[in-house]
Amino acid sequence: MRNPFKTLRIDFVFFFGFAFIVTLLVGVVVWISYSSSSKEIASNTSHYQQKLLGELNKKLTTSLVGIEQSSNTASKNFDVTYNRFQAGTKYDKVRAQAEIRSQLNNYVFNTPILHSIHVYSVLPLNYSLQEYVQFLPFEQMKEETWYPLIDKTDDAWISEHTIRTNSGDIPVISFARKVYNNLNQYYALMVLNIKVPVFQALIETEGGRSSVALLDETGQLITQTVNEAFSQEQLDGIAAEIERNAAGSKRTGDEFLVWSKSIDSKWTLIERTSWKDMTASSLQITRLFLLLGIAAIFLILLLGVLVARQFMKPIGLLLKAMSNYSPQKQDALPDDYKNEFGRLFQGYQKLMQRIEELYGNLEVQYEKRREAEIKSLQVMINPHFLYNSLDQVNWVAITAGQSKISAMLSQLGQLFRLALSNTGRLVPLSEELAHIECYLQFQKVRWEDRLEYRIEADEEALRLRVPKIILQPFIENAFVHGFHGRRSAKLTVAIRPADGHLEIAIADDGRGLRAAASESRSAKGGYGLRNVKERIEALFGPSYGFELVPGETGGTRAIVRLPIIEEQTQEEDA
Amino acid sequence: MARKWSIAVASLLVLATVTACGNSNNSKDASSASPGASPSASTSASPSASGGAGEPVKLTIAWWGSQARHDATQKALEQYTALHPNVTFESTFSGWDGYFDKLAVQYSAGSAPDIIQMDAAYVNDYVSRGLLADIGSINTADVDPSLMESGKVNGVLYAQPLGVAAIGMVYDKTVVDKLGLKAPDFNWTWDDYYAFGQEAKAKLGNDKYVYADQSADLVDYTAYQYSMGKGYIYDAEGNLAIDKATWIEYQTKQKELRDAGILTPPDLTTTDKELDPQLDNVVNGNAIVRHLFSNQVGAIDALKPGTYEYASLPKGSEAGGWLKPSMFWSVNAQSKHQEEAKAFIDWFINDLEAGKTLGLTRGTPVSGEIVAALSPEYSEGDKKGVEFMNQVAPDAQKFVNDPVGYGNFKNDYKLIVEKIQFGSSTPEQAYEELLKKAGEYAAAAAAAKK
Repeated sequence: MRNPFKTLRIDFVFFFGFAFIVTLLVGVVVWISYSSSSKEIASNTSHYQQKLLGELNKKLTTSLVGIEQSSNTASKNFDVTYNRFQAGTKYDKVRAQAEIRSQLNNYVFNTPILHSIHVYSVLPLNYSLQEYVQFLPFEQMKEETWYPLIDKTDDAWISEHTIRTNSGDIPVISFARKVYNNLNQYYALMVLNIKVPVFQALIETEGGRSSVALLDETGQLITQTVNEAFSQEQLDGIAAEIERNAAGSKRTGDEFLVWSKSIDSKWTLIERTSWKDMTASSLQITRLFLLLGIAAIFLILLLGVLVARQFMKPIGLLLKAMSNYSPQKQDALPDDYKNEFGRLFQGYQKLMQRIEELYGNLEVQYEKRREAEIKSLQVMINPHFLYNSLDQVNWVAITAGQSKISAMLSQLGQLFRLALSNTGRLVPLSEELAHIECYLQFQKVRWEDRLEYRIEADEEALRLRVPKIILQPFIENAFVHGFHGRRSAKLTVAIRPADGHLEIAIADDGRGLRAAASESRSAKGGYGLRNVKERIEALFGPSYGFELVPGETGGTRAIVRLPIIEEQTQEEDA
Repeated sequence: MARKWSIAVASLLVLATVTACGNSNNSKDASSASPGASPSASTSASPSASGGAGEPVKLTIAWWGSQARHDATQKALEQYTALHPNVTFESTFSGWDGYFDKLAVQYSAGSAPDIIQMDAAYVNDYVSRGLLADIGSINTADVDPSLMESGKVNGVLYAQPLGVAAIGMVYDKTVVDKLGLKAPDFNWTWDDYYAFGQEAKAKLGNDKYVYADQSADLVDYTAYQYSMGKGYIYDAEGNLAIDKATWIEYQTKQKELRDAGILTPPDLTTTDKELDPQLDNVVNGNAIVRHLFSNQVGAIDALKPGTYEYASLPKGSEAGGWLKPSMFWSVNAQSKHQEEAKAFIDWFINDLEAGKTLGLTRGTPVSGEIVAALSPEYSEGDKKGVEFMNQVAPDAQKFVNDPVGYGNFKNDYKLIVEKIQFGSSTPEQAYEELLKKAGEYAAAAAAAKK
């Protein structure tokens, strides 16, 4: 993946980066506050509910142990009275049963939570809805739905089942106890019934927002408070956990279960609270945080957008100025930025100014070069035609015996040949020197011994490159203006490299500058020299050129300054 | 005093019946009494008014009775709660057996109900122990003053009479008709009784019986002694006054009937439970005649509608039957909600809607106005009950609340007579035992008086 800071738009990165960080921050704060507060609530609730259930368990155990104990006493009394029943007369039997009823009645009357007692025995059947104690046939208990619970034990708690009463069918929870005789045979079963609402009142928690279930030691559900019913799966689900921890809590979905199993009793109480109800307050706070967070996100984003706009505006202006740039038309950049943007703008504007200057220079240069080229072309008007024509004139002169003219013509022809032989702009200095030698030889024919000239050049310098036909105009100038009307003429060409450039000095002993100027030397010879000057400047810039100074011993001295250009450079240039 | 009001009750009943027949004079009397009554009604209503606006009150209430009474009473309680939403009830109800045993246990545990259905046999005992509250503020303007006496001890009202009932007999008319017997009536004598027994037994066969054996019930002997002209079983001083010869004669005769299979055998007798669908020997068809109070007519008729007809107790030289306040409401002296309890009792006896709901389940209502309002709407069963009482009323014997200390005497009486029923004792031996037991009661009662 590529770095988004390098690829994506700045305002885009700016906005979404900001948004992402703020959202993340708000989310983390909200999540931490919710999870920590609900964790706190859960642990608090669990703690207090466990305590409460523990207390409830104690209270319950006291009540239920009371029932169990009194049933035990009742079964002993039953056995004693029953023995009399078996031994006595018919009347005794009636009395015994009446006494058993009366004893059991008293248990019911004395134990407010007891509703009634059912006795399954061989005693004469007597089941009246108006009575507290009912006598049922011994065999009938095997048909009761709860019989399996008591079948294998001496006593057992029987979960909710229905009995008939004078208030209709009502649900009860019962404690069943077998009655044994001295021979350890069991011959009767006493079932002590407790009305379910009464029983539930024992396990009801204050406030009653949650439901409580009561399990016996085998994990059998005895009863539960009326709210929503516990499912068997639910109870099975935590059975293993209850086995491990006598008291604890567990949360599944919306349900928060807390249980407490008392060590000294067989009862387990499970309380279920709705997680939603429990954490309602924490959720409210979280919601408030979330709202504040969202508001903060919006505010910050709004701020972000504003700030980003302010930052992006100068960049946008700069970009626009850059993309719309043309030398003719320039967008003005604001000048009230004093910071980095201000400096950026200034820098850009300076750059632009310099570019414009450069443009101007280039145009001037281009113009100059064009003119120079046109002039050079004008100079070279069909030299071959001139050269051939000269050759023919030379032959005529030879035929006519005019050896002097012939010599001049041949020198002139050579001059042309040299001028035409190389089309490149730069030629080796040796060639340039050969060219002026030709011109000097040409003049020598006319001047004979009165002309004296000398060319001084290092062997090294001969290989350097110079612009073509750059020295001839000075020499020609010397003959046309400087030696005009003189008897003899002396000319020196000295070539030497100096200070990183090539200096060519052409000195004559002619009339000197001032005299020549008065005779409008510049007007005649001016054309050739101006051409030279312009060519040098076009080729090498204004720092090169030539100057005309008076000679030390009279005459004129022309000093041409050229860059040192080695052979290879010239090749590259070609 | 007691004598006076029993006559007054009879006259009230006649009066009520006459009213029902449309005599306007008496209703004028009733309305002329009402202006005097209204101020007291408003004063007695004040606790209920203050209670109505007050904090929630849960009244505990207990009564005995048949299923019909349970149902009607519970409905009435719901009505009261609808009128007074702050008052709710926790009710306990059962048959007669064990009712006072339970109450005794509850009193000793301090958990007795706020409102208690009270029986004439126990009023004096409970008052002497200070267990009942003075409920004199209840508006009783529509109740015959002499009837009110039955709920007073030393002039203070402790038990509000709820209805009047007569004792008589019920017989299974369908069986009597099928066997082609002459039905018992409101004028039959002990001779008719014996003759009917023998005739019926002859036609019924071995495993069916004529009379449910109620010889162990003191009520039956009380009626016998009255009918033989020997007076009430307690004398004016509150001492037991069972005539030895009469008693032995009665029990001997009963034994003969038992031996002849005219009375139910002891094993059936001991399992007999009055008005229980399965255990009542007349209802379940083991026998065809038993004694019954007129306020139970509705209940027994509900079990097998149209099956039963009614008769008086047999006559000797005098009539045997009497009228009695069928039962009372008393307020527990330990109750924290006595004012609310009294307001409820006031409503219970005076409110027309309550009267309609309850009907005759506690005997003929004590308020003349309610009787007047109800009588046009009497059901068949109700009409029979009223007629039953009207038949007994003219020559009814006086009724007296059991004297102090004798509340439980009838239970011991029952045990002693049961011995005769099972042949473990002779009437003579039983009488000796009875005397001994009576001596114990008399000594205890004398000790209590000091």
